[in-house]
Amino acid sequence: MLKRPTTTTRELRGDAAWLEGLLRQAGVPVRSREALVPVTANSRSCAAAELQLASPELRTRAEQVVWLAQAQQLPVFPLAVAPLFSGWRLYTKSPRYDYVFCNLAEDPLFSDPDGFPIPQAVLRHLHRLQEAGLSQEFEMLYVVHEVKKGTVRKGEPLTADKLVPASPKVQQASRLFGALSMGLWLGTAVPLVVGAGVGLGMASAGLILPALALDPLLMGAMVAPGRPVRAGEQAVWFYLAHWRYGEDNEPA
Amino acid sequence: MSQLKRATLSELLEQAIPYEQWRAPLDPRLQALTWLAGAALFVHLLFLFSLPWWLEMSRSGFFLVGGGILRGVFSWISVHTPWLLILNLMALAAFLWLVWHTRGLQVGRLTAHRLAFAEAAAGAASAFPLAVSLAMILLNLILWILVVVASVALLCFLLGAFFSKN
Repeated sequence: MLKRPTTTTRELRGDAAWLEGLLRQAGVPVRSREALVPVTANSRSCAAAELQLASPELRTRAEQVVWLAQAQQLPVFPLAVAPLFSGWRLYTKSPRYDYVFCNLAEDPLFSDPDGFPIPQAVLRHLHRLQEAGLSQEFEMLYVVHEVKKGTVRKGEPLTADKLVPASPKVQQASRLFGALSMGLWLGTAVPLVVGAGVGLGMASAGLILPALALDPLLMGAMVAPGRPVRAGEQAVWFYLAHWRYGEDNEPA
Repeated sequence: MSQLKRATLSELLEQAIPYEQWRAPLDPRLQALTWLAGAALFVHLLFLFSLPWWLEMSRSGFFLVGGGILRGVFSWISVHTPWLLILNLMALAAFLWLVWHTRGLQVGRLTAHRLAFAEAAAGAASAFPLAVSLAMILLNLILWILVVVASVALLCFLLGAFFSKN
């Protein structure tokens, strides 16, 4: 959970110091080097990304976003400086989960006919971001999906069902509907049971998969003013929201 | 390098749905009973088309008991046939849509689960007159079998008594 910003703005010198300063200003207990690791895990060179940190124009833009977010008391802060990419990338070095970094426009959930599932509380938070005018600042949006190890493999198509577990609330409702339906049908069968001694037996396995609580993270990426939005372009990546599937979500 | 495909937060919010309504597998009982409901609705449709024949049969001498009840049920249905037919066809259409939309009643959003329950209820409702009819037929069939068996047993007893006397 983010802490409220306590430090005042100060002159930031040097790329690493600038990023760390922004993080500190936003009250984030994360060091830039650590934050850079997941985003640039599949880029050509983490070191190169760090060396080519943001241009002065990009810094100014990023600082403005941090100040705007602070003024609105919104937990929006820079995570890393890294190049943009298209499609999706898989990060498998974590021992428990794999991570799919995906351009939102190419995320299968974004084009899913059932829609992109986001918990109600997080949707309210995203509406606040939009109302605050922060959403216009980001040229690109990326989602990081936490998935069970081995669920997603390189070369295989990325599908929505691999990224989102079933909704526990819908599963609960479905169980209730199943029980009610069973009652109705047993009621229908009463005349048969009474009249002719014919019973209906129905077995149900009752197999409900336990809901997994997986962690998507929504990030916004901004490039320097006037720069093209294309793969390889250096950008500052911001945290926008995160949530956990399969449990009640508090506002971020 | 080409421009990247872009999506804005507004577009995400337009496309977003509450996760609380996101798709989940149908409960196995709900799934089985919805399939059963589809079959019941189809049989009920055939039943409505063949109702005159059933009415005729209910007036036959086959029914030792419950013939009056059955005639009453069939008469009520025949009076309301147009409405029942419309409801039945709507329920069948909804069932087909549901099967298509949930990939064979496998997985769906909360709306699909609610519709599956409505289908199961409609199926149960349409199966009720069928169950009553079937119960009456079975009951009378059993009675007829008992009558025949009792008659044969009585005949055998009488024949046995007759021949043993001689």
